[in-house]
Amino acid sequence: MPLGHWRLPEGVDVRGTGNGLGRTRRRMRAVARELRLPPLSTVEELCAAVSAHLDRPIRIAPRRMRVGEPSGFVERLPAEDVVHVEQETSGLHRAHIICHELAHLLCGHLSAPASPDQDAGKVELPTIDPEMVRLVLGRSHYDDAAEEEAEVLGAELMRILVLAPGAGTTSQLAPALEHRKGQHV
Amino acid sequence: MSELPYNVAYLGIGSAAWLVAALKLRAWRRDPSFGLLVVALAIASPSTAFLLASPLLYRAIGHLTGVGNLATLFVYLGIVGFSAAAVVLALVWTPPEERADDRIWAPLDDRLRQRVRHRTALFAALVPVLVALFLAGGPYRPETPLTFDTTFAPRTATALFLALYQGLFAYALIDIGRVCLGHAARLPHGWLRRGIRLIALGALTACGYVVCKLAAIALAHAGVDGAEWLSTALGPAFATLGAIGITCGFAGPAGAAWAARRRDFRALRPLWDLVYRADRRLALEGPPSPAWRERVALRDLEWRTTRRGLEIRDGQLTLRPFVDPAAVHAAQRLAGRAALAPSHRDALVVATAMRSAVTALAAGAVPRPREEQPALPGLDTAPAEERAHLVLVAAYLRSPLLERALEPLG
Repeated sequence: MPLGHWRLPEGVDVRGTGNGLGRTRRRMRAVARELRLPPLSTVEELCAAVSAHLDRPIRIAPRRMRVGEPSGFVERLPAEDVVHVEQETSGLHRAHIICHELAHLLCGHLSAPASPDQDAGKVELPTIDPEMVRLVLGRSHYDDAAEEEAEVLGAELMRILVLAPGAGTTSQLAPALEHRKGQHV
Repeated sequence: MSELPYNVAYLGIGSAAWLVAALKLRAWRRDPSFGLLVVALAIASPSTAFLLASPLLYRAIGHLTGVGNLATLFVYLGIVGFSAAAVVLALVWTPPEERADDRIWAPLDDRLRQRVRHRTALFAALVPVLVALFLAGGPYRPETPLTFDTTFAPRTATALFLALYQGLFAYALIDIGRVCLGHAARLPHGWLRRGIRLIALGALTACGYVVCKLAAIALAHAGVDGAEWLSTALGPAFATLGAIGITCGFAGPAGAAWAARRRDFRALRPLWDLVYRADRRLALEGPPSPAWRERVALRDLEWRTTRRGLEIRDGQLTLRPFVDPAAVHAAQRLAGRAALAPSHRDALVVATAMRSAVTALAAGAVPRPREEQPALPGLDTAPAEERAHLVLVAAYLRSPLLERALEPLG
């Protein structure tokens, strides 16, 4: 069930402004907390957890993006959601891009897919070619509130990840003594 | 005996330690973890004890409650609180090989949770025993903010109260000291190791307090005079030094991590400015802060540094189609001739590539298709090394080698 009930009302633009972003950050922190996820080691585990939460398969597909394509985008297919991510960038960056796209899914920014049994020709989409059942949301800029929300929630999802706990002893002590679970923070 | 040095020492340390405890609690709220909560309580409890042990507040409690020397009970319960927290911490920090699970940073497993519960229950059960012993001894007159132990040790109930409290404290100090020393041997050089060793050193020093106090109590109970200085001067000196060591040990690593993050945050600015020039829409928060605000940046550094790093990486992707292969080759040649270490060579190449790309973009160059874009180093950087890599790239933006690499391009 997408966590969409707290979306901004239409026409409200809080993009980039100090207070607006602060409010978004507080909201998204609460959203991430609602997921009640334990610390996870990899972004693949996070993806599986989000998939279980939304009750919908999500697949990560690294690829070499072409010029003009965003660094990541999510594609809604009838049977699953696919997160496309630029493969030639650092692990930390790639993890964040994936978290951004997972945030779009959690926020319910993508509308419901057409039912697989429905005949594509019978889909009532007045402005979209009925052949095109793929819906896409990419990550490049924060021109609208949805992108900003996804970026902020993506950042909160990243905080659930412990990508670099540090070797043995360090990982045990870092949370209490350095106030960070991962050495990548 | 002048009470001023005691007031200054106890109030000073109590306040400073409470500040550390408050910062730890705030960090725990941001990023909950059991170990951090226990550390916060391990500092808050004795900090309160130190404050109440100052003759000023000690007497105030006596006046407020009408019960003389009641502050002693609170002070010693505060130290018992530290003892309980330290014992739990020693459990949670038990070295890896004694724990089967790989994910030692993960939340408590059931067995550990049970052991923590047992230890906490034991201490909780002893608190009413201590209170009962204190009340049974009836040590209300005279009021003795500094000489309670030796004054009332002749009373058996009070002697038992004091011995039990000191015993718990000694057990906790040895436990946490032992675990910390075990860790210190395994940690790499740095503030985490320094902090752990300080905690161990502080615990050892505080044992000196226990030894002095037990000796003084035993002698006073046996009716021997002349040893009060053990309880009023040497003991408190050991306790004060031990408290400073332990508090610094708990606070040091966090302070160092914060300072390192702040240093990196500022170091990344030139590189971020470069990508911002290429594409302003990469920034989530705008407009960019002026130089003076950068200098006094103190708040919210985790978010700001993370954002900066991510936007730089986004910028790197945006600029990739405009990178000049000739500049990249020139940088690689120069790095080879200068015999740069691999990480420095990668940083020089990336810095050169990004500068050449910004110039090309500004000049209206056509983006190269994916197949013709030169492969840049630094993309296989592990998450733990990411910030260090980007900081090095930012440093190389100012390098004369970079200017030489860009020269042929005019």
